[in-house]
Amino acid sequence: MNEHPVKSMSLDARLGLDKYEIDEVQSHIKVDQSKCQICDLRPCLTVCPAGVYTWVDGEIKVHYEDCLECGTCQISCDHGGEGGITWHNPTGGYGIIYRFG
Amino acid sequence: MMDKFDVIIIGAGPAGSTAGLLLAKAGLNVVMIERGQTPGSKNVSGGLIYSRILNQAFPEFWKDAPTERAITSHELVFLADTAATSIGYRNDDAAVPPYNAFSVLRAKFDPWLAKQAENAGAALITGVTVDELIHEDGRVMGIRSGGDELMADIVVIAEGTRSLLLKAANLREDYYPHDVSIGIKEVISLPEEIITERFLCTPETGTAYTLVGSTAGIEGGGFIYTNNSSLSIGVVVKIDSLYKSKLQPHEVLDEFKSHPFVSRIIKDGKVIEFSAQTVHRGGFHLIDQLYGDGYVVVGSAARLLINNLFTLRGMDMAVSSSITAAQAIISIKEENADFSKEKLSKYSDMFEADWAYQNFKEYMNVYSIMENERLFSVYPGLISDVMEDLFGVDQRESKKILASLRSNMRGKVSTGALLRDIYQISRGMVL
Repeated sequence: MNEHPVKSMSLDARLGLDKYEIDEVQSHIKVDQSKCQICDLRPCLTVCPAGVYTWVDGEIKVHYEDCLECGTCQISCDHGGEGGITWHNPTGGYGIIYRFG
Repeated sequence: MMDKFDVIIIGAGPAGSTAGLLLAKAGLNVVMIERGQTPGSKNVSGGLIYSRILNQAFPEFWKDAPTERAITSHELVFLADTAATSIGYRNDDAAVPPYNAFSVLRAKFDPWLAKQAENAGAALITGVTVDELIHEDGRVMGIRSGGDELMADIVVIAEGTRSLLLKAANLREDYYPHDVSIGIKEVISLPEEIITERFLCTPETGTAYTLVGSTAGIEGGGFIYTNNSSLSIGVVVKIDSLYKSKLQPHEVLDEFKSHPFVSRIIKDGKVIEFSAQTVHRGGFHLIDQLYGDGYVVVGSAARLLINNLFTLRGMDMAVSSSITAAQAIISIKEENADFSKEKLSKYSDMFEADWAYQNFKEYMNVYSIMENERLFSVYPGLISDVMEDLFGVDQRESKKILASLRSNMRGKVSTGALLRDIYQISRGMVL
């Protein structure tokens, strides 16, 4: 159907283009695993543009250092999931630093 | 630093910096608090900013603001399989003051806005996240950050689309996946001359494409804007449709980028940044409470955004609401500095009288069109099928438009549904 496929970049390659100041001390995302256990849809696993959430060994793992700070996870989790995600802004100066935006 | 200001402004984006500039100019003691290391470093837009409203607050900004290209060409494109049907509008009148719109990259543009506020006397603190509003019985009195507290007569909440502080203080409604989209964007680098040639423009002017279709059947659309030596390209899709699709956001973007219409435009370009942001559905019915005791809300934090399918206007609504809020604050300050809810209703009243708000009202019926999934799943294909009948010459029987439409819509949409949709689209956008 498509004669001109664009050579697809992996998500990791894309995130590798972005600049971050990573807070090594604390995550700005908290997850209540007991809610994730009973969550059927787990929308966080697909909606996050940075693939921050993965399901590993029966629980949600949070790669907060890749977060693009868009807010999609919280809205999806509150209403499409079980409300297990609590997202705060990272401490001042930390997190994504857009060079273009 | 003094611990009591006339005004605390949370966020130094277009909304915050506009309020900062106007309030400082009027002699108020203003501090803007920005969580990014520099203004704009947390911000993502498509990014077009319309010129006339911005010009009210930042007169002749085009003389030295770091804008990209003046947009003189707009194209609405319907994408289907390999086909594209477009309606374009070019006017070189938009290449001269007061212009119509500019493409901007927020990390370059927002610092300039904030600088104008600083030059007028506003203090700017960067790299500081406001943790919470200090409030009592619904009255906002200041902010808390780390261990520090800052108090003010009035707090201007310009924290953008997430609006976390109002949520935490129970001062706004909850957001639903149905009412919010996610924008996924790439900045793609291309030499300036290639952009100028490829888009048939001049080195100073450029094109804005709004595209419908080729978003994996998910409700939403795409955009491509020309910057000086890069393109801003992205898709904006509804969050609930996205998680039902089980596709990851970058996969939707890839589908869009693979359409031949799009892939030729971005050919040989190099992706230099990947970004994402939530975008409110916006519109008349979703404007939040704009004020309360001791605070006003401006810009995207109050879901002030107009999407009429042709244009998606967030930044100039931010500027517009801030101009009005600043006027209300200045007049209350002159009166008796009583920033009660009753007094601040002046901001809302003034905003409702403004032409920006009248735009909201004008397009209040456009949102039901965007709820209509046929717009994304059926019509782009149907339009291209009819166009194929008109332009494709072969041995099949030649059909006039209506006959072509009738045969192509069979099995896809009923006549009744089509007529209802035409009525709905007309009511929302035409009449």
